[in-house]
Amino acid sequence: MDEAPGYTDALQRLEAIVAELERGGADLETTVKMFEEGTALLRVCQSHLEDAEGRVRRLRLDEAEAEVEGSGDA
Amino acid sequence: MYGRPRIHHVPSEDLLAGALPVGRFVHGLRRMLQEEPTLQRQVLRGEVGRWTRARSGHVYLTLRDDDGSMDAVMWSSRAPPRDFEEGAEVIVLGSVDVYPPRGQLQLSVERIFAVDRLGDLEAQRRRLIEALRNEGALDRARRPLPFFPKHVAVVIGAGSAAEADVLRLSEDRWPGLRRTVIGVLVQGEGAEGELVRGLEAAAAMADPSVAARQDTPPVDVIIVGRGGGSTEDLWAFNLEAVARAVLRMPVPVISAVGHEVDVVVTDLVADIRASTPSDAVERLLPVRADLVQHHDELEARLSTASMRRTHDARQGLLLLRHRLAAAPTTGFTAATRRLDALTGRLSRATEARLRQQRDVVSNAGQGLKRNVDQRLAADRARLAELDAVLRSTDPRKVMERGYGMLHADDGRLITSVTQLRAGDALMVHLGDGQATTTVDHVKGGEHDG
Repeated sequence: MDEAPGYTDALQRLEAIVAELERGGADLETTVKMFEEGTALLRVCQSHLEDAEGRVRRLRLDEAEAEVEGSGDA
Repeated sequence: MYGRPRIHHVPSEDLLAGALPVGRFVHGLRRMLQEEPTLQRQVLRGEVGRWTRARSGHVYLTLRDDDGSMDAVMWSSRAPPRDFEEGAEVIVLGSVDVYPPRGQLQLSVERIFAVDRLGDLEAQRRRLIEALRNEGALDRARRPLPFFPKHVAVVIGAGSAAEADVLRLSEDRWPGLRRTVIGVLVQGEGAEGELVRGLEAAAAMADPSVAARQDTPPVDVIIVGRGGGSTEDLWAFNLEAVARAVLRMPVPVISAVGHEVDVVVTDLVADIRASTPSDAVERLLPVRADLVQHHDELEARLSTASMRRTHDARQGLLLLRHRLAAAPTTGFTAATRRLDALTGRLSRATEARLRQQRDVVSNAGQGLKRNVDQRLAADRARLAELDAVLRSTDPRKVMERGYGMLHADDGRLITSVTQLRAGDALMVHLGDGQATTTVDHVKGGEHDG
């Protein structure tokens, strides 16, 4: 399984890359590779922030129960 | 008839000027009492003497013990629904006050508890905690909260201020987060049953098949709680059925019962204990705007550092050319030109990336992103090409074949014997290091050593 890294992992790796780039000393090839990886990680991190759909439901107890009726006993 | 008044003379002007109207005096006394902290919100113990509920709903009572007694009043908004019997042992929370129309000292009571009932409840609570401890429920492994919750169920007082707080604060921290509020009774008769049923409904919403039917993500965390209240108001959260329901929940539960001192049983069995419903939201949700800002900062640093690297490379190249002033430089001229072009491209690409990522955050299209990716790929190919050029013209490669470079001690590159005199100290650069040496003789050139 090759899952996209989780947010915390991606963020940590991204911060490490930025710190490495800021320290300097990598050759150009490595710099560009790190830039690309950093950009990809940034997309992963940002994708975690884009899911919200804006729905709030306020249910009375009987409404909530009606909604889930028939589950749990299956 | 008592004859003449006792004041036999007309008071002096001074005395008249200094006399306080009695009403003002009483009000001043009242203020002094109200400002004295030791007389306000005191917990007192005693037994009920007189107990009268007026038509207005206010209750007038006397609190007494063997050493003394005091009149007290409970305003209708504070008065308990049931009357207390004369002689009942009680604890009250009250403040000393003066009733100005009569100058009467009285205790204004906010809360009253029957000592026995509280004692019984407390004993039950202790037995429950002990039982849960013996079962290992108190030191079970706590489940971590989801890092980014997708669907939060909130079991809370229907229409309560706490519900409004939770909705507002969660919207502030994570706009658009999916939330399902299940409004229940949280105090009084029926609270125990409704809390249990509310929790069960929330648990059902965590079932993926139920969630799919509702077209929602499954509930992945549950907040159960209420705003602050008296020990008695919070009591439902000390009951066994509620505690056991919390323990049955398939996803992490935050107990969020508003209180400062006491711990309720749901606090002990939940995965996380929060001090209020708002505190639960703060523990659960990061501030999305902060994360976005952090991402933006990292993005800017990523671009800046990458561009600085290409800038450094160009500077290095210029330096190299300077040092190799006497050597053929065609390769360097080409390399410098390429690097200039490349730096320009990378700079445009990163700027475009910055703009484009902002667009992503505001849900703009993806076309520009592909464009930038292609540019970066092209830049990368050019960088590789450049790297090869750089390698082929690196002076160290030349030196590895047995050539050396000479520098005078002031750093000048030595390219002619005319620059040398016997006795000069020189630095010899070879492929893998440097050595110092001294000139013995100089031959050739115009200089005659």
